[in-house]
Formats: sequence, C-alpha cells, structure tokens
Amino acid sequence: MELIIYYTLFAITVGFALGVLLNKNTVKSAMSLVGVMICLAANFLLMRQEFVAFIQIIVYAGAIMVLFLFVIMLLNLRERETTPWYLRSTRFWGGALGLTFFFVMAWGLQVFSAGTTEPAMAAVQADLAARNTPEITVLSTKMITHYIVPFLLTSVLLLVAVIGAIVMARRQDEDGNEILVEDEVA
Amino acid sequence: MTTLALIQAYVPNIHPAHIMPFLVMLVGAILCLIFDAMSDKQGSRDLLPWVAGSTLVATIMSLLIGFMPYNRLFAEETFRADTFSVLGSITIMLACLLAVIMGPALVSRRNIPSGEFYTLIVFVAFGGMTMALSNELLTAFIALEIMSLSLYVLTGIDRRSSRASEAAFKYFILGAFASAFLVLGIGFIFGATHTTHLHEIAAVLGEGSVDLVNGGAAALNPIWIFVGFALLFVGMCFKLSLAPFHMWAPDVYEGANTPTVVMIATSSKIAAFALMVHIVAALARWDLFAEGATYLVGFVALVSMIWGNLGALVQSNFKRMMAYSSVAQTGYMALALMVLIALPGQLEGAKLAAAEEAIKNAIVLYLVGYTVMSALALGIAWLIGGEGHMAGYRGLVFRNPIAATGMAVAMFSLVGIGFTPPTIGFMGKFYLFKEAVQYNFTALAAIAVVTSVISAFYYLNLVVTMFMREETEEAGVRLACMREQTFRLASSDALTRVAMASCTALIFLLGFFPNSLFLIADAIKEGFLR
Amino acid sequence: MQFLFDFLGQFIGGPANAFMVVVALIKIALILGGILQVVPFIILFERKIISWVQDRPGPNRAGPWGVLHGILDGAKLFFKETITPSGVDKSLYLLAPVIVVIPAFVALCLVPVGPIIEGSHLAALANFFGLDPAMVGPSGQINRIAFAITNPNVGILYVLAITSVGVYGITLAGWASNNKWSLLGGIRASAQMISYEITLSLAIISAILLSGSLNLYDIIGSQTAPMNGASVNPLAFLHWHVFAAPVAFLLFIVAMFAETNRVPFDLAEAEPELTGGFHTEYSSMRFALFFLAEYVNMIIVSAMCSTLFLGGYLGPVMLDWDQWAQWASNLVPPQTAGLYPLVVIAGYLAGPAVIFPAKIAFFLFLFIFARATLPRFRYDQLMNLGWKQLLPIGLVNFVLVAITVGIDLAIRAGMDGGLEANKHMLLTSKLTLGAVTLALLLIYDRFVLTRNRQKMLASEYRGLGARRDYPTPFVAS
Repeated sequence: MELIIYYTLFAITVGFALGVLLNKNTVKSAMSLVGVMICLAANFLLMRQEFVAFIQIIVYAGAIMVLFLFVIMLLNLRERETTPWYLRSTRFWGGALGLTFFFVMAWGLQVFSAGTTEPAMAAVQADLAARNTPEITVLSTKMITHYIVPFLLTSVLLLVAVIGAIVMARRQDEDGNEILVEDEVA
Repeated sequence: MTTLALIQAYVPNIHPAHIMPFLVMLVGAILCLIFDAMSDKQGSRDLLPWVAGSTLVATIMSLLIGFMPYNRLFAEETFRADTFSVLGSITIMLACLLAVIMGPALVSRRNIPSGEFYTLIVFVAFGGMTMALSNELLTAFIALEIMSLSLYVLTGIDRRSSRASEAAFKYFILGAFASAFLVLGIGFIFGATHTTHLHEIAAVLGEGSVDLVNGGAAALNPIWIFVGFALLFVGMCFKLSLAPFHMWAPDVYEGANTPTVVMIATSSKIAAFALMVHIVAALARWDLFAEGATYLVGFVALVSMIWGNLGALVQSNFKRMMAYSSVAQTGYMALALMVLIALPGQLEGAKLAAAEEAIKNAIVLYLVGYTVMSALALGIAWLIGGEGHMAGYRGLVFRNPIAATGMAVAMFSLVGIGFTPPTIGFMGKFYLFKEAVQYNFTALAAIAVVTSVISAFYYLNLVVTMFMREETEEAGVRLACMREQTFRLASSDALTRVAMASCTALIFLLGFFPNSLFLIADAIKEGFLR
Repeated sequence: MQFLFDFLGQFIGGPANAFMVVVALIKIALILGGILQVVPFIILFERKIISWVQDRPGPNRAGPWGVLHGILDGAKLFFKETITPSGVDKSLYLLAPVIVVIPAFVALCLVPVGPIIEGSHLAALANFFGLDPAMVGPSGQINRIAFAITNPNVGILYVLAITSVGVYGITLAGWASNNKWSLLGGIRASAQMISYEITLSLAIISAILLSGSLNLYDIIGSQTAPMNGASVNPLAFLHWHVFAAPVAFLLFIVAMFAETNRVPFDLAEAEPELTGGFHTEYSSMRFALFFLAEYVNMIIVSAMCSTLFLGGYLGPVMLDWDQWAQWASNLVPPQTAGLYPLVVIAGYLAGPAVIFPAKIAFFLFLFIFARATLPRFRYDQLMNLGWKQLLPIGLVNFVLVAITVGIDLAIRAGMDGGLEANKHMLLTSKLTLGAVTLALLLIYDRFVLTRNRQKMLASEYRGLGARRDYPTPFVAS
C-alpha cells in the first residue's frame, strides 16, 4: 500500500518539478514549485515525520512561495525574455548533467541494495518503524541540547540577513543619502 | 521523571568560558549596531571603526589567552580548536581588522551606511572563526552562510556604483547556488552516516556500519558518502574560487570595494580551507573514499593552477589580476589538500599523524603567508589609488618609492620561487611542494613549479612597470583620478600605512623564521598566556 | 448493531475497520454537512445584525423574518450563468476558487468539536449500542473515539499549514483575472496574510507554550480544571489560556480578522477602490465558492481561537459526569440503571452541541459587529500595525509567557522537592502574570502607541496623506 502511494507521489512530484522547468509562464512555474513543496511534505508524512512535513508546508508553501508570487506579480513578468545565443546550449548541458547525476544516484542505490544482505534491509525497515513514535519531543530536545549551537547561530544568520536586506533595500537620493520615512512624513 | 530532572535534561552542556571568543564578537557586533542607532550626528559615528576594531582585537586576545580547551571537543561537541583553526581564526581577525582600518575613508567618501558596514565586517570575522573552529557540518554551513551573506552585502554596499551592484549580484547568485550544492552534500553525508558531527562520522566510517535507532546496524553506502563529498567539495570550490568554479572572482574583485576584496581574498579562504581540512581528516581514514577524492581534488588543483596563472597573464586590471592570482594560489593549497587525502593510503599509525600534522602546518603557513601578501598588495593599491588599469603603475618608483618598494616585495613574495631573500611566499611554496614530492605526487609538483614560473611573468611585469618604465602623463592622471575618487582621511591612511609596514615586516620575518608561527600555536596550546 | 459491522467487515478486513469507516463517515457528515447548512444562516445573521446597527429592517421578504434569504441567495448564485471573461488565464482562473475552498474544508477536519470518549464511558456506550467489547471498549481494538474527524499529533501546525495554502487561491484569482483591480486585490491579500500570519503564529505559540503540546486535544486538556473529588467546579473557566495569556488572545483576534480578510482588514476586496478586488471577474458558483470559503474560514479561526484560548468544548463550569450519572440513577430506582449512559451521552454532547457553537457564535458576532462599526484600514496603516506594533508586542508577550511557564515549572520542581505549596499556587501565579502582561500592554498603548498615533494623524492632517513607500504594481493593460 505504502509503495503504491509512494510511487504515485513520486510521479506527481516529478510532474510538478518538470512543470517548474518547462512552464513558460512564471506564475505557473511558481505554482508548480508550490506543488513540489507540498509533495515533499507528503513524502515526509509517508516517512511519519509529521512535524517536518507541516513545517515544510508552513515555511515553503505558506511563506516563501507566496513572496515569490508576490514579487512575480509586482514585476508583472508576462513576456518571456528571449534567451541569448550563448545560453541556448546550457539547456542541453544542464539536462545532461542532471541525467548523469540521476544515473549515478540510481547506480548507488543499485550497488547499495545489491551489497546488502536481507537482515540488514530488515534492520533498516525496523529502524523506520521504530520512528513511528511522536518525534517532536525527540526533535526539540536534540535541538536545544546537542544541536543548540547551530540553532542559535541561525538567529545570527537571520540578523545578518535583515541587516543586509535593509542596506540593499533602503531608498537613496541621487547623492546616496538615505531617505528616512520620518522625514517624509514630518 | 521529576520536573527538576526534566528541566536538567534540557540544559545544554556548554561552558561559558569556552565560547568566550564567540560571545565577545557577538557583543561587539551588536554594540556596533546599537552605537549606530543611538548616534545622531556623523561625528559620533566616526567612533564606529574603533568599536569594531576593538571587538576584533579583543577576540584575538581571547583566542590567544586560550579559554577554549585545546584539541578537545567543546560546546556540545560542536567545536574543536586545533592549531590550524586557532591560527586561522587569528589571521581572519587580522584581515578583517585591516578592512576596518581601511574603512573610514571608503565610508566617508562613498557615503556608505557606516553602522552596517562595520557590523558586517565583524560578522564576516564571526562567521569565518565559527567555520574554522567547527566540528559539525550544520554549524559550519550556517557559519559559512553568515560570512557569505555579509560579504555579498559588503560587496554591493556602495549602491551608487553600478559595478559594485553587478558584482554583488553575481556573487550572490553564484554563492547561493554553491550553498545549495554544499547543503545537498551535507545531506548525503548525513543520510549515509546518520550524524553531522565530524568525529562521529569518522567513527562510523571506521566501523563501516551505521547504528540505527532500534539498536541494529546497517551497512554503509560508499556511493552516498562519495557523492556527498563531491557535492560539498563543489560548493566549497565556489567559495574558494577554485577553477573551474572561479568565474565570479574577477568580476567581484573588480567591482567590490577594496576592504571587502581583502576579506574575500583572505578571510573566506582561510575559513573554507580550515573546514575542508577538518572534513577531509574525518573522511580520509576510509581508504575507499581516499581513492576517489584524490582524483577529484587533484583535478581541481591542477586546473586552478594552470587556468589561474594563464588567466592572470592577460589581465590589464590590477584587481582582476589579483583575482586570477588568487585562483592559482588556492590551487597550490588544494594540492596539499589532495596530499592530505591520499596520505592514509601510504602511511599508518604515528607516522601518519605526524605527516598529517606537517601538511596541515604547511597549508596554514601558506594561508597566513598568502593573507599577508595579498593584504599588502591590495592595501598599497588602495593607498595609491591603483586599483584600476595597470598602466597607472608606470614609473611609480619616481613618484612614490616607498609604495613601489612595498608592492615589489608583495609581488616577489607572491611569485615565491627562487628569489632571495627568502620571503613567506617562498617558504610556503617550498613546504607545499616538498610535501607533494615526498608523497609521490612529483608530476603535479612539477606542474606547480612550472605554473609558478609562468606566474613570475605577470607578477614581475608589474614590478617592471613600476621600476623600469618611464612615468607618463597618462599614468599620473590615471592614478590621480583614482585617488580623487577614493580620497581618504589622513588618520585612516596613516593606520593603513602602519598595517602595510607590518605586513612587509611579516613577509620577511616569516620568510626567515617560518617556525615562529607555530611558536604562537604552541604558546596557546601550553596555556602559556593564560 | 454488531451484525452491521460484522457484515461490512467482510469486505474491508474486519469489523473494527468497518466501525472506523462508519464512524468517520458519520463525523464527516455531521461536521461538514452541519457547517454547510449553517453558512446561509450566518449570512442572514450578519445582514440582520448590520441592519439593526444601521436602524433598518434588513432582509424580511423570503419567509418569516427573512429566514430563507440566505438559502435563496445560494440558489440564485447556483442558477446564474457562469461567465469566463475573455483574456483570463483560463487554467489558473478556474483553479483559484478550488484552491480557496479545499484548504478551508480540510481545516474543518481538525477542529476538536467534542471530547474523546474512552475508558468506562466507552464501555458503557458500547454496551448501550450492543457492540462487541473486543472491538470497541477500553481493552478492545478501538479504545478511544474522538469528536473530531482527525486528530494528528501536530494538529495546530496542520491547521496553520493548511490555511496558509489558501492564500494562493486569492492571489491567483487576482492575477489570472487579467484585471488591474483584481491584481491589486490579490497582491494586497498576499501581503496582508503573510504579515499577519507572523502575529497569528506568535499568539498560537503562547498557547502552545502554556499547554506543552501541539495536539489540539492536549491543548484543551491543559485547560481542564482539576475536580479534586467535587462534583462541580464553578471556577473552571479560570484555567482557560485567555486568563494566563490575555495579550496573546487579543493578538489572535486581530490576526484572525486579517487572515480572513474581514473588515477592517478587507483591503483585498475593498468595494469603493477595487470594485470587489480579487473576485471582481467571478460570477455564479465560482463566486459562491469564494463566499463559502470566507465563511468557513471564519468558523475555523473562531473554533481555533476557542480551542486555544477559551477551552474549546469545555464549559465555564465543570461537572463530573460520573457523579452526576450516579446521582441520576439513584433518583429513579432501580430498573433505570440504563439511565447512566444517557447522562454520560448528555455530558459528552453538551460540548459539541451547546458550548462550542456558543463560543463560535460569539466570535462570529464579533466579526459581524466589527464589520458594522469599523472603517477600513489604509494599506500603510495595515502594514504599520502588523509589523511595527503587533509584531513587537507579540515577541515581548512570547517572552513573558515563557517566563510564566518557567515559573510554573519552578513551582512544580519545588513541589517535587517537598515544597509545601498551596494547591492554588500554580493557577494564581499564571493569573497574576497574565494580569501583569495585560497591564504592560495597556501602559505601552497609553504612553507609546497613542503618542505615535497622534503624531501620524497630525502629519496626515497637514495634507501628506498616504506615504509613497508601499508597492504599486506596474500594470500593462
């Protein structure tokens, strides 16, 4: 049963991913990306990681992609820009590289399953089943003990990102002096 | 479980003194921000570089005093301070300090928001130090992002310059792309080994199997680890500007302001190399990995050495030339990295440990040397306004003999081979090539020597331009123009001059006594300064 | 009734499966069908209240007191012609109302309408309905039945995730209509919903902190008052999170208005400016879908607010149904022992049938009353409120709630360690901190926010009006 769901989901995910690449309309591309995100969340659910799945939807589908759409609509990118000649071949090379990567992965999986004995595979499956317990407590405990440093560093990263965004987005007059909102209003 | 025990289970095992350098930096960075927000007038903002500078100096002091346990894991097994990372961190701090010193002139002339400028410099140093010290891949990745984001913004902080904006954009897009590769690689390694801590990865690789949650064990998948490392290495190559992932470097060097270029050229490379050395040390004990990775790293090193040097030959812009030169110089260091990977296949036991230590020391010596040399070259170019076309350097010796001499010293040192007196560049290359030859990579070492000879053409071409060409009207105008554009305050100038003088001194000091660098490391290790 | 499940079980692997499927279908039919039937009456309710506020009779033609008005409105929309304007992006235009409606209905599945039946009560009920105790019962295959369609571990995250997808529908409707007013409406909606989702999350986090779980039933369970052997606890409502985190409750209310695009946050469909906003180009049933989704969303956020802060289906006064059932069966001796399950059922049904709808109705009234009384925000005021006022308040409140929880833990740890604690100490400390938080908010409002508001008003009177710093799209058509 799970296998059927998995393969169906796999097909839908790949379909959406192709939609991202092949759609000429940027809005439809972005919507396909939303579809990919939701399918990934479904994949997490299949692995019984509810927390990660819903965080995936909240963060990517709920926040980031909405901003994407917002920007696309503000720019109103309806016309497709023409590709310069020197970029035309990138499609081919990119596709070739992607396929190569895919086959290396497939080969790796093949080697892995071929080299694994039955008990080891059973152990992996038992491992997956053992994760059936609620993971949030485990996750949060890990996050504030063993992984506390990266967790805290993330806040530093966000601070840097905010500073950077402010520097880059601040409006300036011709001489480079910043325009303060307060000046404008008062 | 009682409530108290429950609470205690949630308290992370971190000793505040161990993370003192990090705390100092963070407090300093936030002080910069608050100071900027609180000061109304421009006059009080002039104190900002002093806040940032003293933060960096205080961090160096706290690193030297050695609050951190030496060569032991600390802060929830997230960090490890060994010779490489401590020396690297100190060098990162010094490079950022140079950027702070050069800052005021840039800020006042180009009308740059000073609070953000200095804060971001401190964050570059913070990210670099965290990355160099980290023993955990997630921490390293986030630290790398802290550093990179700060550098992207600093590159484009002069928003009136379209070149700077272009550079920042290219840097950002390619950097973000590289980060994606990096994090995918980390994901693969995590998937194969079920951990992101380097010492645990090493342990898993030693056992050859992964422990599972339910107490069982699964066989290790070599492909996952190799693909993971390859992706991670590709990401790091972008950050290190190793060919063939170096395309952004010339444009970014040219477009960015020189204080930022100093940091891109030095701090980010030191941090990335420290991380690579730690990762490689964790992975390399596994012979299957070593075989494949040797080719990968060797290929990148080879391409970098050749492409970087050939590319630099045809440049007429000083900063672009420095960019290609950095590609080549990083290529030499990647050569040593490759030797490090290949070592476990050739040696064993105590011999192996000693050899690894020797190679790491050679890399760190070269890194410090490269930092000093490029800081000197870029700093002098900044002082005389020679960041543009190299025709401006014609007959510089007649106008400004001291600057010309300093630049010549930097160039000789960058060439490295076969010129007396021994400079840090010479000693660094000597050790690197020696290690390569010692462990049977003679062909690559020979290529490295040949490319170094090629590099002499363009480095010495600049020396010839400065010393043996007639000064022309045009050259003077060119420099004067640049100088007008980047005119700077006297105090900042004076401090930069002092910094340049100490760089020159360091080039010779470390050239004659390369071991003095490791005396510092030994002093920290012994807790001498505590 | 066992024979029914035995019969069905032959087809889907056992009577327990059949029972689960049947129960799920009943729940879906009750909750979904109930909501769908209620929506027309909410619309009527809304129009009546607004008409009273405006001192006019309101809808009074269709049926007595106009009760059929909402239903006939729906019928009218159903029979209208479906128009697809030329120039629209066909696929996205058709998809948009669907994207709006589906998340709204999916989120309904999460709402905990009533308590979980388990233990001896479940045994009594199984006995009452003649079910096999090996299938349904405390030690049977099915040992708990919840009054909610699903009950995932991370329920509140599920709600957040699903409702955050709904914004795509509105945004896409605006974009696909190929109409500049629609586009403006869509863009406003997306910006607004992202901005206020942060405040919403911060308010939700306060409730999560206080209850220590993401599961909706656990959140309600943490608001249950201890009975201590009594048959009635008249002050049970003091355990609701609204008293421990009053500021979070207020933030949630503001954010929930914004998330449902209701007055005063209905910029996305501001009639005077945008002639209907994102749904300008929609007609007939497609428009009805938007309309339906808006009301279902209102019900969902109201239900979530009651769950998180007002104890969900819990009444203000708690009764121990076991003792009451005992009492009832003693009342009429002795052949009426069968009364016990009936009283228990009554106890279980009081929540979903009376208390929970009453709480939701309260919030719906709030929505409608706000619509009748408040003017609409301007875009810059909206952003100002969301980012500069609610967000900082939310962050500070989050820290204060964390302190509340910390003190709570400290008291518990002390009690473990033998501290002689008053049994009301935990509650008192929570209530005190809640009051302190509220007082801080009032002080902040009095001394900072009021001043800022006056400054802004003064500058607007000087003729500057709206600022330029909000995004305006370039529209080619």
